[in-house]
Amino acid sequence: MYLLGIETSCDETAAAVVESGERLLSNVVASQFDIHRRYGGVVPELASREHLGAIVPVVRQAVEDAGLAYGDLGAVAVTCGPGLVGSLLVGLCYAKALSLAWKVPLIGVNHIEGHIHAVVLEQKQAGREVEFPALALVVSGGHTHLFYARCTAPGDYHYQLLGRTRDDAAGEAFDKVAKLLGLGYPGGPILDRLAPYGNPGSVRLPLACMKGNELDFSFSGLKTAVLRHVRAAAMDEEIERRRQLARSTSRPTVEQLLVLTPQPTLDLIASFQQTVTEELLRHALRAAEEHDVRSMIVSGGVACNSRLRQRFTREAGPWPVYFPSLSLSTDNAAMIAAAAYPKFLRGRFSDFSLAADPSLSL
Amino acid sequence: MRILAIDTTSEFGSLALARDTEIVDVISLHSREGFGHLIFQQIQALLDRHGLRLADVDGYAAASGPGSFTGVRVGLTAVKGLAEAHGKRVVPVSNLLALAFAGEGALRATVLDARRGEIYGAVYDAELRPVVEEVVTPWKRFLELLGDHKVTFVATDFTPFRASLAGTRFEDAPVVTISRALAGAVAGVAARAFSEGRALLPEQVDANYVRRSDAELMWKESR
Repeated sequence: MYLLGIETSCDETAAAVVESGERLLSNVVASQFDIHRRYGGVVPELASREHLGAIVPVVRQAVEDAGLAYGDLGAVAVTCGPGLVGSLLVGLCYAKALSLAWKVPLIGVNHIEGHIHAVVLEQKQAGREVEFPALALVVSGGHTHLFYARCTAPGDYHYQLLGRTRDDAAGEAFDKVAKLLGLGYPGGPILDRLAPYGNPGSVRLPLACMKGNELDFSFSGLKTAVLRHVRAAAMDEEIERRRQLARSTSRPTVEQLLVLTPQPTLDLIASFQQTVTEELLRHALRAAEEHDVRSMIVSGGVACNSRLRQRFTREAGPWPVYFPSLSLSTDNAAMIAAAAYPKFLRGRFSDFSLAADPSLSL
Repeated sequence: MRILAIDTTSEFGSLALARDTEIVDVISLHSREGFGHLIFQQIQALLDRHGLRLADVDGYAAASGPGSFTGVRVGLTAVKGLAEAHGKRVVPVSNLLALAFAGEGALRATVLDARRGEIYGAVYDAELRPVVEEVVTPWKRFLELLGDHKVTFVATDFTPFRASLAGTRFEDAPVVTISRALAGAVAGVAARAFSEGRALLPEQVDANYVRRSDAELMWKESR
């Protein structure tokens, strides 16, 4: 069974075809990076406009790359939330139109569940199964969620939210700190590339102490601490020089950035990254200990962070840790098609009243 | 040829089914929550009523704006998907042009409320050729753009503008009020485009926002 997935929840127009929930046949992602870069973040109206222009060629390409014709597709899956409502609507309306025209089931998918199933898909593709129940950490520019994920029968997944960010998502904190330091957008990959040149233990930054649910996260205090440090260190001139570079070059090289970034700033970057990864790891380990899990899943755009991967791999104790490949860590539609397949098997279809829900919970 | 036309660009939406230039059926819709969650059931119901399948539709049309940015995209995305699914073509139709099609007069000044103290407006001749290009501008500025043209105003609701014509040279200008169910007019404009070979491939279709996004209007260098 060939399942078409469509994902437009933020600033990537994506489509993919997955065969029977276990074989990725195509994965097309049209990035809007160059549109939003000048604004230092995703502009919702512009994202929606770009999706409208990209949706037809992206879906067509995904079907062609899979070596299929439209008539071969057995269902259409689409992200219905959470995300930017205007962006979600483009994917949703396109998926509904295809479903109506081809008379195939429509399957609405939660974007966060998709991130978890990126891992399930790739393990299946490698002939392995993720051991459930699992602790799933979904961490990106829009989300920082900890779930207790169970699979009670083949294709029957259940999720219990254990903790979530109360303010900024982890990836958002990366973006904001990078912007503050004049490093451009998106911040995560840039900080990841610079952090190895700094000493991660040199700047003491606060870890949030949560009242109430101790598995919740908070990153806004950390961001403020970096801001205070920057002000105290009088870094205006170097920040301005990096801003000029970010304005003139869409993707500055590490070498270009190192020339403009003194050692104390590199130390700050390394310390910031260390603190974020420490926070994510600490909470995940605690949640895993409190619940009887058999494995850990770390997914979402921040799962691309090399230090995060390294620390989870080394320090996750007895639990096997599964990451998606880099291309399936960031937003994509393969994960949407993968998450939809169990629903297809169980007949959990959506009707045409399926609405875009910007704050859909899992 | 059979044409299915959609207008979801305001809270008063509509669907129309046309056979060449004859409008076979029009369905008026109203929703303050947009149309993404209800337009597809309505399309199915319209086709069912006429014993048709989607494969029987030869081409699609949609109001392409100006109007609600999100509403514009819902209609255009729907027809892009429907057309792409069966290898059909699409005609995106400007709302202002659709008004002119449904209106009358030698020179038709079409007007839509753009909110924020502005209107979307344009002038077409009786052959639907543009005389004053589509603009988003304050109403008084639009009247200046009309120059010496003797126009007939065409709108779905002219009430907000009528009083302001008092004392201007447009005080006695004729006004034609058009049904808010604009899909029939959209289908009418599209029928001509199809017959003249001007229909587009689905990927070529874009919105006619007229107004730029706030981000572009207010852009300053990111800091």
